[in-house]
Amino acid sequence: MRVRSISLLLAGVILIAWAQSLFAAGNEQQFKLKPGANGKLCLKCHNSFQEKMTRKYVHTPLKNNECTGCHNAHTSAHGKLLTADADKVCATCHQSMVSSKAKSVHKVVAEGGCLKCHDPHSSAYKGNLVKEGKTLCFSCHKPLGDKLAKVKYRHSPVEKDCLICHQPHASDDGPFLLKNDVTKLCVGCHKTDKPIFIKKHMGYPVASARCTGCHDPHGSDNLGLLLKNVHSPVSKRMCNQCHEDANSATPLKTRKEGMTLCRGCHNDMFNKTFDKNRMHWPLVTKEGCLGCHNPHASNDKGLLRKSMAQLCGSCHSDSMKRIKKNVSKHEPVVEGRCTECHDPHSSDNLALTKKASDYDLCTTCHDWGQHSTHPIGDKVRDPRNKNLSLGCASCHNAHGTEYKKMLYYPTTTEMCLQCHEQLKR
Amino acid sequence: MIRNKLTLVCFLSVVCALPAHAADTVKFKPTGVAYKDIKNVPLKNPEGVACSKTAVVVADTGNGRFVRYSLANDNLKDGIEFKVAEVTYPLRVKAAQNGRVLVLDGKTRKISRLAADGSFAGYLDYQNVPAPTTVTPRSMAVDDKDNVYVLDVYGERILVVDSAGKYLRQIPFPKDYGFFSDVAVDQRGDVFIADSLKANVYKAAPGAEAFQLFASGLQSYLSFAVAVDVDSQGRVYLLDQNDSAVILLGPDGSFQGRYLSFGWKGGQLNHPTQSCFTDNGTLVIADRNNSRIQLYKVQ
Repeated sequence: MRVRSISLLLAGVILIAWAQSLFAAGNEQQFKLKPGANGKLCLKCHNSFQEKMTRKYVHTPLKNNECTGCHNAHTSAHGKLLTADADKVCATCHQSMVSSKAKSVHKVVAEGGCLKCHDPHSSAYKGNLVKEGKTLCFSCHKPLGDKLAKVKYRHSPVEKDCLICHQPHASDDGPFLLKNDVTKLCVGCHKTDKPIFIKKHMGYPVASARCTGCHDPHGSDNLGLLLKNVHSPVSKRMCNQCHEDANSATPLKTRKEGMTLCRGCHNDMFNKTFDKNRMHWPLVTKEGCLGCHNPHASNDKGLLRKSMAQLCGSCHSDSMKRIKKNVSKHEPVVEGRCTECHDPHSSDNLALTKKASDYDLCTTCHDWGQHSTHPIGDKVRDPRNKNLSLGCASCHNAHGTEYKKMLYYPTTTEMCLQCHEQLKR
Repeated sequence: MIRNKLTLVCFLSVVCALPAHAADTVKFKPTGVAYKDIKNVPLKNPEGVACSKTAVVVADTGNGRFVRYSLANDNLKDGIEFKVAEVTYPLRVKAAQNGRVLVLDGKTRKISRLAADGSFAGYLDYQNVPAPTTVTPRSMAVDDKDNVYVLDVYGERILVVDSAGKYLRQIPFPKDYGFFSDVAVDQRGDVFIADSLKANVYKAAPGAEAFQLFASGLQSYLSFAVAVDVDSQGRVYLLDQNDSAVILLGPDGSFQGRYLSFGWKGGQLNHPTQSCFTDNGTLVIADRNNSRIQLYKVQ
């Protein structure tokens, strides 16, 4: 019975192969194609491909002398005589690089930028990669590569290959293309029941905690790959200053709730903050301080959860959107130094600015205020509105505008004529 | 054949005219403005405005005081100053019954009750409020029974209390919200809240225990909704603080238009912060960065 089945299967395969060869032969006859017209003939002119074909890894269509797998021999509406746009042609065969369940997708994959990593013809590296391993990754992720070249301590997988932790195309299981959720991925190697692990974490049950809240998974100048800035109680290993004791029933529970806990140490800062007229509203929500700060460690100054631009922009997205469109931009805004002008906690001034008058605020950096200028100040009334005095913001938008010099109007003349209407011709 | 063509032409002209007609149906006509009080003291960054039957109370935030104007012919008259020692930085005011006013103070972040004569009548003292007992109001609204709807950003809820502060009920904020800046209650008792960060408006029907999405995807028209109001026809008005405009929504939540624009001249806005409707339908706006109160007839 089994022999009969195998015989039938074999016969089927032979039949299909024969039919294919007949079909190909039929095509060649129909179009009067010369032998090897699907690729072998191409190499007669494109002789540089002889060298490419000697490389270790050759793309299957090329290996089979089938250039027409990707190119049209006569004409094409796409570059390089491709049969589809360069960002789509790969997907005609490789359709399943990103599953519908993907939790994260590599941006270049989503954009169809396969050729940023792969050589479409051949390569010395597996997977037709244009460079080897982490060298390839760091050619785009340059800031990370530069940082890792300088840091004292590097995570050992980073030294070897990024693909130990990350998927190259998409991940169904974790963010940032990780092969699993952060914690599950970490504990796959770092056994949490080992005495050294327990000791280093002061006996606290951190097996299910998010490791990247304290550790930089790539590298750091701090021992234990701790993030650049560490909250003082953490660096002193005084976890129980904020959390209940490690041997208590609820060791990870904080000793007090919300900002009351933070106030215990940062009392002066709290007194100053709450003595002002205007609060940054997120501070008085349930998240309190933790809306912006990481209580353990951070790579950003002030234990911020993200870079200042990203953090502020996560709520003030409308401002960020406007800023992106602007032609003229205020330097601190571009560099994400929001706190140059604003107090992130509270202020007595509108928009939580550090000074009440825009003149005082602007002249902390711009010394032109000490020279001759257009009359401005409390005593100079704005002709457009008698309740306003003239200040820097009467003509300039502090974040920038779509016009030069951060002016509200396209030309200086139009700007001036807003007030000097009598000069209009 | 000719008849068919005529029908098609008529149909196309009606279809083409519809958007223009819709845009033209509402007009914001400036009818009045207040720059000063009766003693010629200029307003300074007023953030709050509350409309009652005969008066408009302004929270003159930058001067740490209140100014009560009387209403006459769609404009503001007089402008009597009053100060309240317990409220040094009034951010938001809402009219209650019988000329009384509720005010949110920026410094204490408490809601105070002011009597019709402007005297301090005590803080809104929350009683029997379920956990969390901490209440941090960002705004409030008052219904025709004098019940107060407190936008509690700490408790992530609208807390409904009676005029004395006694707990009546609460409506939790919807999931995945950004930040709510204001609450309004219409004549029917529908409660509206505006999500400033996600440009959404939610509505809870009278007695409902949860909010439903009323209008979403307004990002194209709206930067930062700081205030929400409802007129007698059920239309919803959102004040766009950061882009200085008014966004009008129909009673079904549909976008009806974006009105007014940024500027310093009469009729223009510069970071508006609160609005209210007078009994005859005049829209009063606290034009904060222009240090004035502006009135518009919505036609």
